[in-house]
Amino acid sequence: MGKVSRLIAEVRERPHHRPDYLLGLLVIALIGIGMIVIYSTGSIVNFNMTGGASDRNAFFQKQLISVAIGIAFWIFASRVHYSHWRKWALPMLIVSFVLMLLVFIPGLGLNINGASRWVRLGPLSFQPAEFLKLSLVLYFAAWLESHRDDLRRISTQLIPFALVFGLAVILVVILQRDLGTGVVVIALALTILLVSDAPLWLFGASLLSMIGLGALSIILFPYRLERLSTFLNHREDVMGADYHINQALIALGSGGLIGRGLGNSLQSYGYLPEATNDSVYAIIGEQFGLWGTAGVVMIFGLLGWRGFRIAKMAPDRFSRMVAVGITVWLLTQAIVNITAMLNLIPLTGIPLPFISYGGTSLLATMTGVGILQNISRYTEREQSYADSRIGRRDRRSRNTGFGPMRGTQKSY
Amino acid sequence: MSNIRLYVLAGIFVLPMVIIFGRLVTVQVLKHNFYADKASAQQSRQFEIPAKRGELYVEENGELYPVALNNSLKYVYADPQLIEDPKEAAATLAPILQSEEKDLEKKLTFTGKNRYVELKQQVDQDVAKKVAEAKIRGVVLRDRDYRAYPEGALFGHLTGYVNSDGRGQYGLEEYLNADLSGRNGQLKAVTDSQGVPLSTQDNIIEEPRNGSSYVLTVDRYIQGVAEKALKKALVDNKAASGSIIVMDPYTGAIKAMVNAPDYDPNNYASVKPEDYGSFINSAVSSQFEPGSGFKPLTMSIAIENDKVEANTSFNDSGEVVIGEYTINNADKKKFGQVDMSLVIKNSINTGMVYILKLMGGNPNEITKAGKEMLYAGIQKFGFGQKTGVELAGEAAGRVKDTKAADIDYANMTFGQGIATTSLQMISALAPIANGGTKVEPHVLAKKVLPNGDLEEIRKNITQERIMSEETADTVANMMIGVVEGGSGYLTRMPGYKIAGKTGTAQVPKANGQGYEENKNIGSFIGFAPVNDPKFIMLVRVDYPQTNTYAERSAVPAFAEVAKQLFSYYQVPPEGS
Repeated sequence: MGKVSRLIAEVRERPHHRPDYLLGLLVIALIGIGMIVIYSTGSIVNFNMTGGASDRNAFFQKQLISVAIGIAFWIFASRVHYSHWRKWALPMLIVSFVLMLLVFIPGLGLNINGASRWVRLGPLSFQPAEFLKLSLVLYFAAWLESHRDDLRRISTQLIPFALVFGLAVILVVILQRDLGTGVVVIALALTILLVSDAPLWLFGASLLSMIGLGALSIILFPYRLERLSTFLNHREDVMGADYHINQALIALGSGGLIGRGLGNSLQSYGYLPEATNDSVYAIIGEQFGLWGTAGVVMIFGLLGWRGFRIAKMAPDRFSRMVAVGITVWLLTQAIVNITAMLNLIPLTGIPLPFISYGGTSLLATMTGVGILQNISRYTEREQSYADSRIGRRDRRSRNTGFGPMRGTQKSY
Repeated sequence: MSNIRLYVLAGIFVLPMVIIFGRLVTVQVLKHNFYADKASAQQSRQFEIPAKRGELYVEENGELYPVALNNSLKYVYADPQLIEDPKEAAATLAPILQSEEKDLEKKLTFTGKNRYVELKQQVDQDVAKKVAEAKIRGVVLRDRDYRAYPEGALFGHLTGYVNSDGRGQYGLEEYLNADLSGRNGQLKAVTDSQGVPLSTQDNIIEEPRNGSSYVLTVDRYIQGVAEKALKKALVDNKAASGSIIVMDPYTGAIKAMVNAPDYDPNNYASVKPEDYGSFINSAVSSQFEPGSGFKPLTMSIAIENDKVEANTSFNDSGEVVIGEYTINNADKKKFGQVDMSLVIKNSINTGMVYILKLMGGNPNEITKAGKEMLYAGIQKFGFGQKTGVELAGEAAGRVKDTKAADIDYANMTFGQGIATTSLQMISALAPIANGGTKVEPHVLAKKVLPNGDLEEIRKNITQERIMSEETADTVANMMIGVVEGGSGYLTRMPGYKIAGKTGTAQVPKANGQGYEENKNIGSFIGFAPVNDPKFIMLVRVDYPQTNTYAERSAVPAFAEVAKQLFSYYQVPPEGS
């Protein structure tokens, strides 16, 4: 505890400014939307699942606890200087990998819908994939930052990077059969590589190999092929393989422009699977119509804008890569979830950040936003990063000094 | 340079957002109607709103007492898919529902298909409370209307019962099924994916029309008295079955109708297949040959057609030969010179054959004209046709037409070779009691209107006269003799004039060839007081083993009920 308070106290000692409050507001809005939807439909989902024998608001109450813990994580992450995550990245990644492997230990792992994504330890059950994403962002950024000088010269130095990356993809995509998380992991790894000091050809080569790997995985795993063919040969009949996506479309479509209104969801009465979870976006569409669904997309868009803005003005390479990684993580996950609900891509089980019911996802994403906000405390004026690139020799003083803000005092 | 990569990266994310917006507009605005239709197609279902089944009452001192009513009771069912531990659930429920634990466990175990199993019907409030308190996930209590028969077996043959499909079986429940059922309403309701209606947004398309309720003519007290007397008669005579009908001789309103064996409509399902005969209201459904009880009818036809008078004389030699057949009197008695009153009083078969001959105008021979007269008279009494009583399963009986052999018609004069029912018999004799008008036997008195008012069912019924008052009086007086000095002596009561006629009828063999040796049906039909009858009653005892003549098998039961009726109707004894 003493260490935590020391870490937090440290922030005050460093020169900093107000964090990005708009980013915080956007995240709170998303969490609020999620809570409202879970409150209004979670009782129905819970009632369906238990036949009315248990507490009707159990979903909401659990989510409330998750949000409370998530806020603690958020505050912690926003107070602790981001540079500490550089040290913590590797241990976090190792723990994440171990947890990912626990999924396959009988008695600990929960197999839900043909995919092993949950670990149960005593009363807690969680999805290790959620923390893997955060750990990977931090690890990749830390690794690329520390090896930046080698990147141009010896590309063989990338082997450990490729190994970690490959291991993550194998674990997630092949062993856990979690294509959605795989897409997010690949996206954040590639984008971090893109904004690192690595040459562009390296990024291009990685992108191509990922596309190849994706094609291979579809060919190797028939169930995935089946999902793909389900997607490509979409039929409008309500039952069968297309059941889930059809129910999602019915929820969205029947919501129309203004929706059925809060608490009037009918699709959550057993029709739409995972109504408060992976399919929560469809329920938002049913209850709040186009205004709700477009609103959520707008909020994620603004969130992306703030995230990339923080990245642009990030004080150093590490923070810049972390900011990009976290932003891409949240955005990609939202886009994969939403486009799947809209039948634009095949369905993959992936939660909508901040909105879907589920503690692990909330804790991981809220920690990520906390880190992003912490970085925003140290952002510099426009061109700051470009300046730093020109005068590479200044780096040392800036990294250690966190000198006073330069330029005018215009707010942003 | 690096910032350009950031801009490109941010730009890449704009693309999916634009696509998402486009797709959202397509799905939620352009195709809204398409998906809204699909939503309501799967979320809405049409349900029947059950109409309330009409109830049956009897009236007593202006108050209505139900004999068939709806009882809303809980039943217990389970969705085995939701049962976490069938063994534990069965152990908890078994003592509450008083069911076998093993059976329950089997029912509660999910097999992949059984989403609905009924555990117990008609549980009382205590049991329902205990089930609710057990709070077993997947075990549900629901309300359901059950038919209840407060009077049980006493009214069982009149009410019938409602089977598990909701259809009336036997009695009024079957006869009035459509009327009692009403018409179910239609409800369009939003349901969950299992088809269970949600309480919101219900939309009644058609209101249910509840079934009609009725008040019976039957008197609960008389019904009880009749039942008791019948049971006693059966025990005393070691008889298998029997019936008693009590009727208002003027209106045809049935005041009591009991049969044995009987059954309790509340527990109709527990009747064993070999006892299914007990469902049958034998008073209206079982055909029999009436025997001598028929004689007053033959007599009235002859008198009405001026063929005989009370003092028309007849010389009985004890037998009459018709072709190859010889007809004797009971116990081969010879009565010598008698008049028509004595023919009835002593139940002389040969005298009845003589009347048939007189009907044809030739005292020595049965003629076509005689047969036609008898046949026309019998038709008028309603034999061979259903009486139209509002009870299911009525038999029509059978009368041989005039093409039949002379011997058949000779037998018919004293009630053999004609198939009838107890209800037909009592209805046919009612005109003799009431002064000559035909009655329509019925068990429904009033209809209960939706507002609760009662409406008489039979208003302004013009009754058909089928014999003159003199004829009726003459025959009635002959029948007094039966009670005063004939076979009805056991129902003689000081101060009361009772008219009646016994009948000890042979039972045709099942193959139609001749009659059973040691089986007979004893009956007695009588009415009282003769000058203004309050009731007409038929007692029928099938296959008595201890007393083979109706004078001892059926008459005592008649006497027992008559005694109670005089006091119930407050008929003062004459000369008091």
